[in-house]
Amino acid sequence: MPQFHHEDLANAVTDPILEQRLVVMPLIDKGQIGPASIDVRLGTEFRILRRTDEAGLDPGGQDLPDVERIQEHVSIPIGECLWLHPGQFVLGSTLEYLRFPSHLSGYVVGRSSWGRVGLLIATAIMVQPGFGGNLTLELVNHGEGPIALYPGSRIGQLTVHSLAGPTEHPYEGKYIGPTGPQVSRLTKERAEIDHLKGVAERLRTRT
Amino acid sequence: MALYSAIESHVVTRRSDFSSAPDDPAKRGAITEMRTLLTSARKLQSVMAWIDAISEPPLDLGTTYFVELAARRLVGSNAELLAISAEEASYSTYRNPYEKVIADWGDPTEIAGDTVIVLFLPRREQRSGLLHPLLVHELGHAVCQTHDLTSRAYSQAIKRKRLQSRFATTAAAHALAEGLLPQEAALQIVNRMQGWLEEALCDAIATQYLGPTYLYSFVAEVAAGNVDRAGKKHPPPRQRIRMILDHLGWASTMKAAANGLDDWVRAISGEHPAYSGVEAFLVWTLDTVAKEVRRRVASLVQPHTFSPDSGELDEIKELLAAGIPPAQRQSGETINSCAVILGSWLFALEAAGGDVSSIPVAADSEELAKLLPKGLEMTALMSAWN
Repeated sequence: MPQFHHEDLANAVTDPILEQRLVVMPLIDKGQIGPASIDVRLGTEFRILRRTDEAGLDPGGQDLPDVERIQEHVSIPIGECLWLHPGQFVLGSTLEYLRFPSHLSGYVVGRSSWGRVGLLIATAIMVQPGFGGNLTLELVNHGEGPIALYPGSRIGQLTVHSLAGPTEHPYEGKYIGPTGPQVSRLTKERAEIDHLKGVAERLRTRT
Repeated sequence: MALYSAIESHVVTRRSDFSSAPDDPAKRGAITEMRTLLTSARKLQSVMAWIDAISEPPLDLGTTYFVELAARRLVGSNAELLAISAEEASYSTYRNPYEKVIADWGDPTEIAGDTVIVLFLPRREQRSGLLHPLLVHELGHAVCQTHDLTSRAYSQAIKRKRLQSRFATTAAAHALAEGLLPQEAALQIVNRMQGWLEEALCDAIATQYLGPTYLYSFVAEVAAGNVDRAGKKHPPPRQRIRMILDHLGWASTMKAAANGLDDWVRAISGEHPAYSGVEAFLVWTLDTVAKEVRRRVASLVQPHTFSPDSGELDEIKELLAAGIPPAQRQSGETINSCAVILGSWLFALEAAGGDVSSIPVAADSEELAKLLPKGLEMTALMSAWN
């Protein structure tokens, strides 16, 4: 999977055919396109874990509304900041709405300037062909002091890779078209957890 | 924020009065003033509990940026906006709501420079982005007050000889029918006439600023009700639709997207039901002064008139069809925020069939409830970036 360089990226984001275009909406500044990546900015919406009487997050035991209730939705306008305290975890998203055509995939990683103050921006870094949406970022402060997160600032970088050809199976998963941070949809995988419990039962009772 | 600054500044002055007071009676005087201030502040808090809405804004960021920009452009650069979602079924406005309470303190000059506008929107329509253009009509009331538009339009209208003659006849008949003194009857008609004129001015402001978008949002709000009902302060919706269409120059650019709706709008505005008494006079008056209303508004809003660009609208619809919030054209140019809303209306109407029944379906679109605010947020950011 060859990685796109500057010229490839510049062409991909302006492809006249929307279906084939690598959509980065908006690309505020062409300077965001680097030698081999596109800088992405922090969006204005966040989901912060509330202090509740819930024991925790259990994809096998909670419904999606319960998970959403635990995580408060917060909007921070441009110019203001969200303080992320040491050890704190919040969900954010890219300011840009991204859409990958079926022949491209990508990876989102942090920018080293943020990494050096202890900020981790994503753990699930792969972007599948066919994905569309504001990419959810898992923001964690691994540093020793609070970090001010400013919506609109360049927080990550996106590398883009060309597949051998367009896939006939573009992304059709649980996270279609989000326009802000989305809470975990692990609860939708309850069938898998139930299956695991069934496997455990069979392991215990097999003869 | 202007309110809090005014209070803070007042408190600082009173503290300073206290510390510099030369003797006990003067100090007691300063304390009494502080107590008065405290009482006023409590009174203010009790009548304005809804100011707390500032901590939990009902509008998304994109719509907030859009309405704030409209307020600064139309009312003035010092306009400060507060949106509140209310249980009431319709939109309403207050301008400088605390003016009177602060005036009780005797020195409202510190906030005289700001125009605070409080907009109420129905809670059930909080997420209906396609109806939020109605907020621009509400801003129109603040524009009318700030620029004294209503009384100027009224003074101009009442100079017309034919209007004076019909007014006199109508007032006399109204006094007789209702058993009122002639002056009371005349005053009632004048009040209603000013109310109707202001509504027409606000419609014209919203139409000039938003273009056909306002027509769709307005029709969405009134289509299900009686379009011939004349209100105390509101002209019948049918007449208002006709005036909006006249203002738009009966533009046919929207016909392709919503042919059935377009026909419906033209058909209902073409009918002229008969009114009697005061309402007949008011309907006639409004038709008579309609051009003057448009001219007055055009001269004020001209720099911010929205003229749709079909190429831009096509790109918006293509992006929405792909589930992408529209903010930037393929060329990299920022999309006009008014075009974002109009393109969203056209896209939603087209998807719902394009006749009058597609209006509520479009207004309730879950998909647009996500994409439209995001598009507005991003266009606002892009246009302010450089």
